[in-house]
Amino acid sequence: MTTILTFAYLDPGTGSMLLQAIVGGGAGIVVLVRHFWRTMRVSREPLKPNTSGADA
Amino acid sequence: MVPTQEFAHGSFRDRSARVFYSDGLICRAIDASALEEWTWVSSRPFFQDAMNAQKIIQTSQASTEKSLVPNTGYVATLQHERVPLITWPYEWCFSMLRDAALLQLELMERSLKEDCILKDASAYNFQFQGTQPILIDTPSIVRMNPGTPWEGYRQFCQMFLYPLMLQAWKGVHFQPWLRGSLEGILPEQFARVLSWFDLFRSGAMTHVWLHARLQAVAETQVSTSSSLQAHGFNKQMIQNNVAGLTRLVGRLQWKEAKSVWSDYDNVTGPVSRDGHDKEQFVEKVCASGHWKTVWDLGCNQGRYSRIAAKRSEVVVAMDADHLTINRLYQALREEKNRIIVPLVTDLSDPSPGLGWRGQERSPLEQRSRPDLVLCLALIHHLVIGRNLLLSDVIRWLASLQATVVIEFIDRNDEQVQLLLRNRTDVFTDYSKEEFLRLVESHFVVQEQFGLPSGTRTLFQLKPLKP
Repeated sequence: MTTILTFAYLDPGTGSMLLQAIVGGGAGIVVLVRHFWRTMRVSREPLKPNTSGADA
Repeated sequence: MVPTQEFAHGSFRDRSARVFYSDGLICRAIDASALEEWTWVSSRPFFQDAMNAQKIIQTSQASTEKSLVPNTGYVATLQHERVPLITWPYEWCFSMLRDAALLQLELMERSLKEDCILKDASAYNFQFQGTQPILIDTPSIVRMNPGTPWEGYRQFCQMFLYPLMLQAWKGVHFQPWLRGSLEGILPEQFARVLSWFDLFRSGAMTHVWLHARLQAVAETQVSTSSSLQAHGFNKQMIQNNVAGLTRLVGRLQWKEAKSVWSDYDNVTGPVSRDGHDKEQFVEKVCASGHWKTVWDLGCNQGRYSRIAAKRSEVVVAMDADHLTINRLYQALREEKNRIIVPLVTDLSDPSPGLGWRGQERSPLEQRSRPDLVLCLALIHHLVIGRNLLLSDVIRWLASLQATVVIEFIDRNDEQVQLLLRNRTDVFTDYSKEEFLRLVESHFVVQEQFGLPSGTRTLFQLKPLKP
């Protein structure tokens, strides 16, 4: 929580974070590939039908 | 708790640690989270080493909390050593910005080894003691959150890396860009400045082009930091980036060979003929007292700044010519000078108040008040070269309420004739008679000395009480 608060005043930029994986070396590329793979899967997942019966 | 004093105008972005002034001291009110960070970080060996080496400003926790008002969130006060002169990055030369960037990276590298990090990378976190950059924003060093990227990386690019690349690769002065935007140069903007050829330069493809492209692609992504953390991002990657940036910044060189003013002291004519006598005159005035702050206006290669530095606490050496200031800074750095601070300053267009309410970054006159002003071989450039009114220039000098050493150069001097060569002579106010009339209405003339050239006169002036 403390870290979140102290970092909160700065906009780091999403692209800047991703780039750091690239310039961070070979292992960083693996991290980036895994990140994009997961992001792609999440974006392609169909929305699950609402089975609870509650109104959305 | 909130201090009884007002906070500094530029200290509001980090709400957990804000600067205020108390009885001439530089203090920082910190809340519980910042106190926790301070207690941990300040006990790390790298922090103490950097403070002892004057790379981080001397800081201690004040023993008393009497300057804090209860029940307002601040729980403690840090006390910083006072820096004799506050300057802004758009007043620095290329080598100053580069040295500050390298110090930022050095502190990053050292802090990462002890699981700390500089949470931001603002060039405004640094000041200069002579030619030594120093980190003044101690609360920017915090414990690192394992697995998350360096949040200051983008800011480092915008405030340090791109301005340096702009100067080194394109020969474009970075100061107007930093003065035009306090956030620095955005990746998307800088990518458009580069040519195809530039993209083959070291660091251009990744830190500039890809940086700009990824920002555009990633705008729809959510929680990138957590995702990277979950997929194995680690400290070593930040260390690799910092090491790469250190190599990149270290290789950036501004190779300008010549500017209008870079060889001024080497020219022949009245400039060289009068040099020795001018030195003696300045030496005598400087020796007549101990000066807290000296302004050397139009300092060129710092010949007279060096004389003044023997008898003063700080000399602000100002010149509008970037290359001249860059060379002066490099020479002073070799000399390990801790008194003279060279600044790129155009007196006809000085640093204005900038940022939030025009108060975040204050004009030079609000940051520094001289008690001695050297104004040698300058006034003809202001009146004829920059079309300022002689009366305004004298009135402005008088408003500084300082002892002034000024040189007046007659119209028939070869350098003045050079200035008038391609101009319509509308400068009816530029004459020695008018100069003397104006000077005597604002100052007491303490001494007057005609230089060997016969066209130049030195004056020592004491301001009349306002």
